Amino acid sequence: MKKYVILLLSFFLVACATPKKPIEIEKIDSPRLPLLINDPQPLQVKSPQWIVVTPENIEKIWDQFENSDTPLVLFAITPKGYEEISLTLAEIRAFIQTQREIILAYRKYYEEK
Amino acid sequence: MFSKFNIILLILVSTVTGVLVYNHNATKHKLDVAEKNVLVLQSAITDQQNLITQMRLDFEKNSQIITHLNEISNNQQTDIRELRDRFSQSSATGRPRDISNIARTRPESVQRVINNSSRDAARCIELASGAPHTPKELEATKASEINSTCPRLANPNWKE
Repeated sequence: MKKYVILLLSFFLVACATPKKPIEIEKIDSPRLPLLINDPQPLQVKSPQWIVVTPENIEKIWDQFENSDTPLVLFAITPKGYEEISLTLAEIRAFIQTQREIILAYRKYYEEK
Repeated sequence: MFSKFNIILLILVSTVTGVLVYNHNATKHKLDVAEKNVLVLQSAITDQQNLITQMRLDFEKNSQIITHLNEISNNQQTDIRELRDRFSQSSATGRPRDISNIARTRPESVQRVINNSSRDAARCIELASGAPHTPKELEATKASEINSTCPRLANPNWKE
């Protein structure tokens, strides 16, 4: 019995005697994952049909509407309002273009090799 | 067996030999360290030169991008200024243009102009959002062919 106990203990001692490998930590620089975002689709803009209404031609316009089943409703805008809409749209267009060019510039600067 | 003189001589020779060996080892160690330092410095110089080259390239890229964005901004401001002038510029008589009066007297002409401009403005927004140019837009060089609302954006081959 003693012999077996000693034999068993000796196995533990052998395990202790095995030299341990030192832990090696290797640092690897891995590149950042690319940001995968699809570009938005370009806009498809429908332009409205403008009708210039004056006191002289209003009746003619109503007649045209009646003959063509168009509802007899107009959303009106003054010449000043038309000028403001035109200039606002031009500013919006400039802003859209600038934002897009800035995004493209960032992409080119940081992603081009 | 050994006389006093021999013992002293032995001690002396041992001491001198010891000192010489020590000096030799110390000098060798210093040389090794100096060699390693040279290699480290050479590597650092190479890294620095690469960094300077990269910084120069980045600066050039930066300048090109900023120049391009400035050009786009200038073109946009010119388009907006020209649009504003169209509403307010003087007529042949020198008086400021009044589109209300013109629309009152010639509604069909104004309607045609406004609808054409609206169509052009819609196309300008499409192009600004990234739509590709059509071959016709790229080939346009004459005033009658261009998009009058944003010629610099819509017709890149048009020259003022």
